[in-house]
Amino acid sequence: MSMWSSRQRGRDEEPAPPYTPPAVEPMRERPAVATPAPSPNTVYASNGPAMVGKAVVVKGEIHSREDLYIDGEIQGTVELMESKLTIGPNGRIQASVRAREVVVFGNVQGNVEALEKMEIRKDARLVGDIRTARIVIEDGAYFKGNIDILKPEPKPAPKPATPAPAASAPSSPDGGQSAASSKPVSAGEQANARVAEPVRGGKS
Amino acid sequence: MLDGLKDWIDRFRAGGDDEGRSPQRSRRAAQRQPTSVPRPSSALREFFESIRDQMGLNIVDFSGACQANVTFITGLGHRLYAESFPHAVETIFGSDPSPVSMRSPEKIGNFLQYSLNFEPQSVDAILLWDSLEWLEPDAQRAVVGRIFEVLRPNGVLFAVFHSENAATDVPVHYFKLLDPETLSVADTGTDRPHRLFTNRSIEKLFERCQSVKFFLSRDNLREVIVRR
Repeated sequence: MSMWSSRQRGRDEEPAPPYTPPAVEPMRERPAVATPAPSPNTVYASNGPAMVGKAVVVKGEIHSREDLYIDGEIQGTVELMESKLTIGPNGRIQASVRAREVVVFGNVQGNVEALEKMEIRKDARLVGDIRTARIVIEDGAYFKGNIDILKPEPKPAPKPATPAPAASAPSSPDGGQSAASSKPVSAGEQANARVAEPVRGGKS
Repeated sequence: MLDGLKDWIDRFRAGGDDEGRSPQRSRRAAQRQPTSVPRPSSALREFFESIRDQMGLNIVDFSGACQANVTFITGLGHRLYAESFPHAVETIFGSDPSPVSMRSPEKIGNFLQYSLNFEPQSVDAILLWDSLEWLEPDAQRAVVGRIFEVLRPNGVLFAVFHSENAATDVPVHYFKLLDPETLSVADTGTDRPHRLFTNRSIEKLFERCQSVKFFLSRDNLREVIVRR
């Protein structure tokens, strides 16, 4: 991949400098600041998704809020509730996967839940159960497992707003706010709430 | 060496066309370009009539992952279990399976565990296609026995057999569902199956089942609906 090949080129051309450990920044959420509009002359190192290169092995959990491309080996769980996961041709996943959209070019062993769409491309191999709203399987792909299609629940008709009687209304500790709004909701839970709405039924 | 079985495996590796096949293995199949022809199927109509008006059934498709079949079956509101029989054969018996290895009780047991590992009576319907023709008799009997165990009572199975008066080499087909009465049959060449069945031998194979119904056609293909 380009990320690794550019480093490799650099090593070939000049002598290696003495190693100095890079300043490691703790992982934190991206600040919600407005970014200036890029000028046409701006050059970015990478505009694509986050990437796990083909020489990388990860054992554990991956949570991401941005699109992710995996060309390496993952053992554990991968969760991208709001984003798209692409498993490259060299990708080897032994994990349960949950994502908004999943595209498989490589090898997956484990259950996959793709909330919106699932694609198994030619020469991909997937052994496990799939739960998704839409699925595309190209000729030449190998798949073994169950396919459960998630169907959107019919939206309930909006109820006319009726003021609740004061006596029966449950009191909340923050004085007037509803229980739902008083509880802090993480971005992941928000995503779950958003995506859970059109899905009928739970896990089988 | 089972030439027909090897080609059958290769055909599914290549996704139903000749792309990717080795020249040696595809020598017979290469005689003909794959052509896909819609084919009315009375047995298929009966198959889908028997699961009509029901939702959420467990249907097993042994053609492997095929977009048309996945879309069609899940579109009817059923759960699909996709499995490629040729791939399972290759995984357990090897890519060049010998008759001896296909008769090994241990390997047959592994094969059943790999390809038909379902709870007893948990499957509502099975699309078996022509898979049985490419197995050794011991494996055939074992597969049918396991199917009987996993299919619920009154469950239905759709299978295809070449008629007994077909030539020694029979067309190799790749089946897709087009609608409840029509199959798309891609003819990818000719191969020699392990065994051609007579009506009697098919009845004997499924003798524990309630009924075996034959649907004859003009193209030497017999469609069979078996009711558990």
